[in-house]
Amino acid sequence: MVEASPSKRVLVLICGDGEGAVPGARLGEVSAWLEANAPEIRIRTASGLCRRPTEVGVALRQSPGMDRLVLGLCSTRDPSAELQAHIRRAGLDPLGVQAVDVTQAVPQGASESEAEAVIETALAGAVARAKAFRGSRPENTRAVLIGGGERVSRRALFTLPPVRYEAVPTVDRECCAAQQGCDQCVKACPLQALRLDGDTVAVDRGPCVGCGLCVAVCPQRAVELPGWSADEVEAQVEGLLAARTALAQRAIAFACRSVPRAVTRGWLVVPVPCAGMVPAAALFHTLAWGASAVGVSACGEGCRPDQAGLVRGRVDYCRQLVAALGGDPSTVRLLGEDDASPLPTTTPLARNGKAIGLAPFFGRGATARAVIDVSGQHQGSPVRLSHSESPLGLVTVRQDACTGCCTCAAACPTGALSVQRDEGLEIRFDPGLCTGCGECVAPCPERTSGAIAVERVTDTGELAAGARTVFRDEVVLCQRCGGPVASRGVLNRISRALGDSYRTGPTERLCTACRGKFAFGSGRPHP
Amino acid sequence: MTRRTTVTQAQTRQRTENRASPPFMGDVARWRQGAYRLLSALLMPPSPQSIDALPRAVRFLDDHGAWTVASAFHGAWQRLASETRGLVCEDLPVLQAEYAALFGPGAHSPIPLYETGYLTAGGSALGEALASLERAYAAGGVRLGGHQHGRPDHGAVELEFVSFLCGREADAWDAGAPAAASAASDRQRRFLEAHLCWWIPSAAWLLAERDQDGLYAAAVGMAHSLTVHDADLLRVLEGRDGRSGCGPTDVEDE
Repeated sequence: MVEASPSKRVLVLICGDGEGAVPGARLGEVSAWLEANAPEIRIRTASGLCRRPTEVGVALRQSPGMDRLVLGLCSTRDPSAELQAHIRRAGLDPLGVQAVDVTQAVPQGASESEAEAVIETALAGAVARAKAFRGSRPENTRAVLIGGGERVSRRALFTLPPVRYEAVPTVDRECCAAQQGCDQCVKACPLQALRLDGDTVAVDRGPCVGCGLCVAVCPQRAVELPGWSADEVEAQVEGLLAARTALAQRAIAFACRSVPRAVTRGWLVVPVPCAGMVPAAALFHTLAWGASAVGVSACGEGCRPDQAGLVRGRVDYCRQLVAALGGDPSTVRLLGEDDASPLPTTTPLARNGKAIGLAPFFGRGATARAVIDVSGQHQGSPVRLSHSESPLGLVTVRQDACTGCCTCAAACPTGALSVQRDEGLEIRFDPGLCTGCGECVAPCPERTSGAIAVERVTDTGELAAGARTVFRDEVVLCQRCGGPVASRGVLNRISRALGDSYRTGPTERLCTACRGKFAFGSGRPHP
Repeated sequence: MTRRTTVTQAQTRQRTENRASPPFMGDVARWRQGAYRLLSALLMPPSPQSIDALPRAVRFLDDHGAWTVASAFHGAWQRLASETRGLVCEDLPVLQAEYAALFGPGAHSPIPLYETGYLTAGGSALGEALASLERAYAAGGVRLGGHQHGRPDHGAVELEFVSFLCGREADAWDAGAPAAASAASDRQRRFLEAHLCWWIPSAAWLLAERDQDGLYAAAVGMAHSLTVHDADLLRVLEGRDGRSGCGPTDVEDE
């Protein structure tokens, strides 16, 4: 069941073996800090949590009544079927459990106090993410056979194999804009696991690998992927940056499940199912909110969503924009491909308990707001960056070629193009909502005349200026009922196309409803 | 030299092994047979007989369902079991009133417990849905007798049918016939995907809005969790027999 209440009691289990794995880290000090700064959580330390899932079960039984679980482990990997069973037996949802690799987060050569500050910060972020978990529906879990695909022995055939469960997305029908023609998630899915189904989108659990790209592109935030949701990712970043710890420099890495631990050593990791899920807005907001650097893990070989090119291009775009704004492009990293140069030591702008700003990473208008936020850090003239991976676009409409049919606005999936009909006809364009998808161009009947064009451009001046009118025309009114006939441009276009053989008089004078009641020229009603 | 054994001996050996060993597929199918039958009974109007039988059924399923703790529907099962375990005959009037208030014809906005109640298109769609059900029942070797549940698309009938198919699967596993078991589970999966998985989630959502902590919300919630889980699990288990090289009826010691 998906829950609405934000108030959750969180149990933090820390593996006692971590004290040996992280020299200098005093887990008792970490626990004391957590208890002092987050009274709604309970902390327990137990040895062997990483190696023996039963220890997790024992600790859970000794701490009844908890709603969420965070594991502070010496290493993390996908939860085993056995661990999921222990968690489920305790009445918790395994999809909402957060596991933090406390050894990975501590940089090499960190002092005792630095190591403790890193672990405290990492756990605070995980607690924030765990609290943002809203539960899951039966449709959100998919069974995965352990050892699936291997040859099955005759004896094994007669027994139920171990089963682990992974998250798959569902679409909230009430928020979904499929009925208005939106199909962004269907197009974004690299495995064709989504399809339009009436007024919503259906997910085919077979091919779906839970990569989360559908979550990232949905303008309505209608796609729910428990454990990897937009709310949880945002909450964790906010938790990492707002934690009142002694950690001065906070470099945040969005890392997928398959990235090697060595790649993210020293970074505060925000796990994502696929690096392709991380939008540019996430990188910009994270920097704007005070991270010293932000990174995205590079995609590995053989990764099924195959987003390596997209991720690389997106990071390059973010770097170029930061540089164009006068910032340090080395604050944006592609982990695993960039060199291991030292992280920048910029002074963060917002930290230590201050309200971060709650600006979303995902959804309608998130990217524009993020660009405005990060450009607000740097003084200077407006910047115009043309880039193939720009998540924003600019639409231009030629007044002399457009007829005002408004097909472009009807096709726009984000509402960047809209129509206003007051005294005349206006087509309005909001650059903050445009994703540069080009859906407005294909259906335009005048596209061969260049009536409409789209560029993948981020223009901070246009964003700051906001929505504007890109086309204006008069609307011809019906002489009988006073209702609209069409724009002057459409009528002129029809006249040009049909030539002298067409008598335009009645077409111009009457709307379609009135035209249907009276014969051309006769003025008499049809029998 | 291989030694042929009867399935019964192999089955007994499996069951006497350590409880941590994986469950026998026949036992899993039997448990599911019982669970679907329990859910079918819960969707019927409560009666003195059902009030008497339900707690015993829950206890039996609890005793034979240690493996369910690893399943995604475990939480829903625990919730239903806690609502049902302590039922006594004195609870009957209260349950009858609840049932009438939620599902009865005199209820304010009754929640449909039948598949066609969730069809948004009328006319031929209704007939097609009922015809599809009749074909599925016939293909499974079942003919509804006497319409004791009133209509073929009632949730109780559909769940009872799945219970029947689970029993057939269990029989096949017990007989050492994995191909026949696979055919039975495939029929279950197709029926679940075409029918129950389509409308039970909507019923569960409606009930959760109206009766969040009650028995019937727990029952339909468990039906929701179990049907979706089983349809998914049966899909991933499909084809395992093809990777085993196992013969149709024999079980050989390794």
